[in-house]
Amino acid sequence: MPKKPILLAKQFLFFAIFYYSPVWSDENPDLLLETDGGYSLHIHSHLQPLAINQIHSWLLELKDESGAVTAASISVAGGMPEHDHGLPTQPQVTEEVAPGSYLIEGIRFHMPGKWQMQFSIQVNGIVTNALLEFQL
Amino acid sequence: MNKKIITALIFPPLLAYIAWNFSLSPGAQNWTTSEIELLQSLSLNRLPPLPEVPSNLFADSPDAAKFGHALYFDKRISGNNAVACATCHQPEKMFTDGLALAMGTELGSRHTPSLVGISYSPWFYWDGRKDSQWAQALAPLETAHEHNTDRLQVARLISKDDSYRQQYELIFGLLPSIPESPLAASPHGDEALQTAWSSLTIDQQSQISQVFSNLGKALAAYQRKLLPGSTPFDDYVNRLSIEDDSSDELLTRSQVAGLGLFIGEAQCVTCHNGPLLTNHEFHNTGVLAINGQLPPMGRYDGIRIARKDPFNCLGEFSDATNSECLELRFSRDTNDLVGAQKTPTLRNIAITAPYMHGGQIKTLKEVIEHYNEAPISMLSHNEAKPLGLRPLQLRQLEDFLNILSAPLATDPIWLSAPIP
Repeated sequence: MPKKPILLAKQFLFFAIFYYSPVWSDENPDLLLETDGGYSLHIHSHLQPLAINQIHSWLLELKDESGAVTAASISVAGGMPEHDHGLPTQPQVTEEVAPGSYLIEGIRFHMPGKWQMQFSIQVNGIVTNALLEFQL
Repeated sequence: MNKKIITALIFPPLLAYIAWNFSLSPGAQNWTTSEIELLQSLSLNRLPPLPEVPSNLFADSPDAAKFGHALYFDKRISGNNAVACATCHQPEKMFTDGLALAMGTELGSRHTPSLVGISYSPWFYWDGRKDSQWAQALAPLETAHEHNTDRLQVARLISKDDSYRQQYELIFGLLPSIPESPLAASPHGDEALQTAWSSLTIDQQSQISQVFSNLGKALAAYQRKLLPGSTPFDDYVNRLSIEDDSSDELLTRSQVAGLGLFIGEAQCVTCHNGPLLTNHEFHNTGVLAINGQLPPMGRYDGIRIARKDPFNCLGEFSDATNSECLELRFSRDTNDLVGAQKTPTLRNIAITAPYMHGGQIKTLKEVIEHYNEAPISMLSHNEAKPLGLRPLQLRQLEDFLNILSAPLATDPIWLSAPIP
């Protein structure tokens, strides 16, 4: 197989994963993402419905095909690509509240518009990423 | 023949220019569902109850508000007995002073922001150097160009004034013994004040600072009463929400067009959002440095000062548990905060000139022109981009900003000095 189609296929896969734009609504309060390493990431916001100007926390549930993934090291960053700025806060994972369930505290959005949240997840020394894009 | 050619060449472009700059906007605005939802999010009807303040147990105490009311108007809490909080934050001017730079005991270095609705903010000062309203209230008292007094003299005033002592002890418990000497002392200020502070025992220092912090908590309890009133804009959105056709009668076509620009092309709502028309955050918008001053570092320095403040949410004078200090614990301090200043509320904006952190811009018209041009920032980068609005649109925006004022939703008893 020529290299170019493979490259295009890879790019398509990348965009399919990284430009997934879920709608966060009352009917759909939780979201499910897949990381580029094949883990599933279930996201639940403790602020329902999600709104601007309120500091709050999220719960992340990390799973692979055999179940909950424990002892992962997760960092999170976010921002508004169209405005070239980050979050007003620096959220952090503060606790693994149950096996594979991680609490992220300190999330606040301060503008309406398109937001991105990037999750960098380290499991057994291997880093896997996921990107969430949504409209507020 | 020549005249006809000249006329044909000049008049059509002239008419086009006049139409472009001065023509009326199209007819009645037809808002989309998502636009109506956005407008509703800006209405005062959506203002939630005052936020809880875990670091101030007395934030909603009626006795603390009454005590804070008296302290707020008391000029004895100053080095020259001539400056009170109300000197700069004047009730009759929506708790501003109408000056470019504040004038306390001397000329200050920042513009006086309004206090109306500011209890909703997680950060205080233009650069966010304080993380609570009670911690903020303390700083001007010990600043040389503001009240120019110190915590020992303030605590002594409370101990010697029978009414103040009684009110203090009703709210906070027994007032500790306040030493008669030294005359003045503070960990801040000039060398004499700091030397005097060092002469006190650790227990005395802690007790005096505790009394001082309690006075800030009372001042904050009072300031929580200062809330904005419903404006013609809110009435318009309320009628729009119930599909009342009379909403069109409330505002002029120009004001409605200005509102459309506010939430659309002009992008004002990006930062001036929520019912208080502010996101309480920090942005660099390329405002010129204050005359005679270097461009300020803004929030970049402000967050670093807040983290070290002994009166912050995590400090010994706070009533909060560490887990409750979310804003401080998860605060950001990155380079993009260089030169960033706090977004002010736009409520009552037409009657609280001048504008910006140094009062650099005198009129709303000039503020709008500033954002239309989005000049290069003197320090770091301007987050705003040029808007390219026409003169007509600039006037429409100004017309809209003129309908954001209303008498406060505050009992008038709080708007003047208490009767002794």
